[in-house]
Amino acid sequence: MLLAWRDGDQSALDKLAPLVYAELRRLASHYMSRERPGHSLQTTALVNEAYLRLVDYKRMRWEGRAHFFAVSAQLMRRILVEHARKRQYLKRGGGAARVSLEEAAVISEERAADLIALDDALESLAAIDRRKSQVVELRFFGGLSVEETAEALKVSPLTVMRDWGTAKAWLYRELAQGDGDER
Amino acid sequence: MSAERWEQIDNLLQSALRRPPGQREAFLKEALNGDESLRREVESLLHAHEQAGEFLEATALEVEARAIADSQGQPAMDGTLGPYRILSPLGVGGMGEVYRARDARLGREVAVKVLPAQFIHDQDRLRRFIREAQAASALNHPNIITIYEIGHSNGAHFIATEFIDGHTLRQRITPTGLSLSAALDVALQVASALSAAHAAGIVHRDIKPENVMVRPDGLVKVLDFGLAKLTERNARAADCEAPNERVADSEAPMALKTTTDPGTVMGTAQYMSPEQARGLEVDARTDIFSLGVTLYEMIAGRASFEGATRTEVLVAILEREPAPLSPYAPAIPAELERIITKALVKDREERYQTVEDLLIDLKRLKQRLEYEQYRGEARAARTTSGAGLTLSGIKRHERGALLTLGALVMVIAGVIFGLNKLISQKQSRPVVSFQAAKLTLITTHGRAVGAAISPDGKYIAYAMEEDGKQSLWLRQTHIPASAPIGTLTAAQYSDITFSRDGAFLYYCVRDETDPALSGLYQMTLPDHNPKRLIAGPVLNIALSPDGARLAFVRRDSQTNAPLTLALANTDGSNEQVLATRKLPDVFGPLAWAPDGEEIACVSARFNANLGTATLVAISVKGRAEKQLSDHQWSGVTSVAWLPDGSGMIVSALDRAVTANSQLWQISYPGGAVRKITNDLNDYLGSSLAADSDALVTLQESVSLNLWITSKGKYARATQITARTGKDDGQRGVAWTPDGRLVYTSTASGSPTLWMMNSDGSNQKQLTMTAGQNIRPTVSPDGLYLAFTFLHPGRRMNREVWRINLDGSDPKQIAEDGGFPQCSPDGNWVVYELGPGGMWKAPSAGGAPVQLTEKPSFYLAISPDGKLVASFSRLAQRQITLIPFEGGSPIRLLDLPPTPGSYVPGLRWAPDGRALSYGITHSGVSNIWSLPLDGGPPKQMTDFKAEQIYSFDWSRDGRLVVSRGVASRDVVLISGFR
Repeated sequence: MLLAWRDGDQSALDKLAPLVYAELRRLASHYMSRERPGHSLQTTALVNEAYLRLVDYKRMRWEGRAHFFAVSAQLMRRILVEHARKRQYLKRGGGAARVSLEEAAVISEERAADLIALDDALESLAAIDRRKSQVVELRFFGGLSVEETAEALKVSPLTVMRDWGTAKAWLYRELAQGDGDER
Repeated sequence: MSAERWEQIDNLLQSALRRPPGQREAFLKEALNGDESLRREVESLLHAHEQAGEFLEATALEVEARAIADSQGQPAMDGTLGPYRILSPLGVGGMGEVYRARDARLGREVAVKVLPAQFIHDQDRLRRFIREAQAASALNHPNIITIYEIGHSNGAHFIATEFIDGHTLRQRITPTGLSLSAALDVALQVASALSAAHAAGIVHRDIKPENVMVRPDGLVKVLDFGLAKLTERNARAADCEAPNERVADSEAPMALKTTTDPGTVMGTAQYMSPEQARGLEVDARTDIFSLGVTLYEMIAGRASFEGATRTEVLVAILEREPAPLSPYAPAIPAELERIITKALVKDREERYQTVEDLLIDLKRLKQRLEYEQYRGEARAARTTSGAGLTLSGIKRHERGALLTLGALVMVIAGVIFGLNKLISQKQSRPVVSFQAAKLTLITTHGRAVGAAISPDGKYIAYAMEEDGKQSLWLRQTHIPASAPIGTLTAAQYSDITFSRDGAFLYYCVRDETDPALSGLYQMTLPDHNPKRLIAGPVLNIALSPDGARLAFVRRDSQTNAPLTLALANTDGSNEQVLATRKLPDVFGPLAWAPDGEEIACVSARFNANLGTATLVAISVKGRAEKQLSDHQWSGVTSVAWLPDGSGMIVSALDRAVTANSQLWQISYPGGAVRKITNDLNDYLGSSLAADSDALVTLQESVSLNLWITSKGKYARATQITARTGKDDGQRGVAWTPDGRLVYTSTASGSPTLWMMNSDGSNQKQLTMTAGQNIRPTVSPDGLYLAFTFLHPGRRMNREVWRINLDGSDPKQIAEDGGFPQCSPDGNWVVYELGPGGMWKAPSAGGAPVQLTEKPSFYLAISPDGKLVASFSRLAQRQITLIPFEGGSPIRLLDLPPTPGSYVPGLRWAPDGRALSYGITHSGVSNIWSLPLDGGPPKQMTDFKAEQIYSFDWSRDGRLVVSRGVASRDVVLISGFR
């Protein structure tokens, strides 16, 4: 399914990334000002906007809406994980002189939600159960609903629900163990 | 793992999950009886599922956005923060993250500190912090870090400051402490920074080694003024508790993080003053204590107040005396122990009361140590090298001679550290040394008007003024005795210049009482015979490197403007024109380039307000003119080439910050410009010795105080401010209707408006701008004030503005104008344009109306609002009265031709029956009253000394004047190379 993507990969990424960054900034500033950021359909809205911008890209061979969602979820994953990597680099990067114990604690707390660790774990999951990793990618990174995920993967919504449950447990354990290893 | 096994695990997990939580384990035990590893696998997943909660329930986008928010505003992911490109992280701390960054607009490196998000929710507090931090930065003190910008971007608030390539004092302090001289050096500079900040009403509150940066050249910068105020936690939240109870409870004390982790907390607690530890209001004395703690640690290499927990540290601060220093530093002078002890007194009433007192003690100690060091070295040199002194010994000897000059020689540290870059490291450096150039006062009378140093550095010539008369003096640089080299005359001396061989002194004379005496003179040395080489009104002298030619500027006979650049032989013959200017363009100071080919000169343009001046070079042969630097100043008062031709040193007034004239270095070629002094004095002149080791300039400082009189008793004034080195009211003072005073002050940089009670208390800053806010006047209802704003964006154009007395709602009244006064009904602001006449504009905003086209200087409105008075021309002693509606003069009042000049401003007496003005003669000013009934003017005040800079009447007949002295002394800045 992703083979079709290859041609326009970089260009699509380039188009989607600014949208994602803008949305991230908007959301982050809402969080910082302690306002509610509104309903959490941003990912879908974003991808929809990206869809509108990308459909006329000539060399892209789309296979319908479901395909597009699948591909954009993977793009979202790449963009967001890359974003997290840069953020962490800046935070802890080369010359960072002092990290107090207090802050070290904050950083390890963050690990549970750390997209980088999750990305790694998701790779491991894909080696065991590809479809389950795709469910997570579509729902968590792509922001798709259960129904949309089912449509994209051509499985029943119930299967998506089951896969989601197992994948979540597996990933959570994986990440929690990661923490345990550090102790 | 095999696919089958995974499928098995998946199915079992799903089956278990379909059951109620209480039955799941039992189900697994039953289903997997015997396969323990499988059971453990599924159980652990089941457990994880139960634990996972909200895990993955938010989208990745939200998770990442939250992470950004939690990380308190990071640079954008393209590596920028506002206009700054992030280069590398510099450090992470409780006060925020700091990055090294580049300002793409200006191409300079900066440090950017991102403020932690939790501190910026309180907008009030954030505003207070910004004001305080900017006020400290605006002091332009060499030891206070310069803030370029406080801004926000991507939801992150950040501070961009100058980038200091150095280490924090924390990194410098080793377990054995710093050397005595290094510790004193740092303490002196921190104290100098605090002294300037305290004078401006700013308390740091968090002096500690982490907040002091030390550059490799020894220059110290104090960071984070105002930040402590931002990050204090609910300073007053626990006010109801008794202070001691709060200390006993490790959670409660203010400004403390609730954590008890020793690694993060001690850093702050150890430098707290007892009053801070108690959660009391703090003042400047808290910084003195914290500096004392820091100095102790620099000497001892360990903290003065220690404890295993935060509470123990606080108890130590409140109750224990620090351990004696001598075990840690056996060589420590007893005087230093006394100084530290006095700074660390727990009761702040018993501590040093001002940081100046501490600074003076530290300076004295430093000088004494340096002198003892010199004597010790001199003895050692005599014993080891036997006969004669080595070259370095001679140098030391000279330095020693300088030091023995006692009171005449003041070694001022912390003032001119910007000179450092001009100074190479000398081979023989005393162990105790300022890592900075030395500034030696050559005169102390404050009446110097011009000075030069001979090319060999051995002589200094200067002119001084006494009772309106001037005289020339000569002295040997290192011998504190001057001799007059000419009689006291009414002439004014300028442009004193030594010939390259030191055999002649050249200078210009301007004699208004006998213009025939004006000209360019040459005096032979040492027999002091003057001879006029060039007759007529001339100024600015430059000598060719071979000593054969001189360049000077001739004034135009009609306009008196310096328009002709001329050359002549050094005997005065063969005068020829090299270049000319047309008004408003004029020539300024000159300097002949070392290669002899070009003359650097100042090209200036006059305008109604401040001029612009640039540096150009004119080829001696080809007459071609080129720009030496594209930098524009308001004015340049001297130019000197560095002897190797690598650049020039000028004294010049910056356009951006117009308060003080400073010394600058301009590179050649290239024209890069760098300020080398940066303090609150004015520097006028830059005469260099040929080996560049010494520079002579005039240092000008004003010291003004506000005085008030009671009604009717004008001969007796009371001083209400008692500060030295301040310039309160220099550019204007005004009463408010309720008896407070609005005045100008440069305490925060360029002149801005401040307010105080009439007893000098409760001083606060009203305006804060990049330009100058001067000549305030308060509306009759006391709600707003009008003032002159010198607009930096419009080449310091004079504009009239108003602002509410609480500092809100600034509005422009007029695009051009000055010396505003409010009409008694409050509806109008009247202002003058000098030669452009007088205007009024509605105070609520609206089109201005011209009252007269006739030249009008200063102005006053009658209390009944019917008449406006102004000087018609300042040279003619005449005041014109016109109707408030405008039109022809209805009365001309002639003033007797008393000598002297007017104090800027004119006021109507509150009873409406007289006009008052100030006259300065021979450096002494008094206020006079001109009755409108035709009687002669009467002197009101009875000051015998000092100059008045501004004055105003209160409604109830009290007078306020800003008076004091502007002193100019010759200073030698040595240590150049």
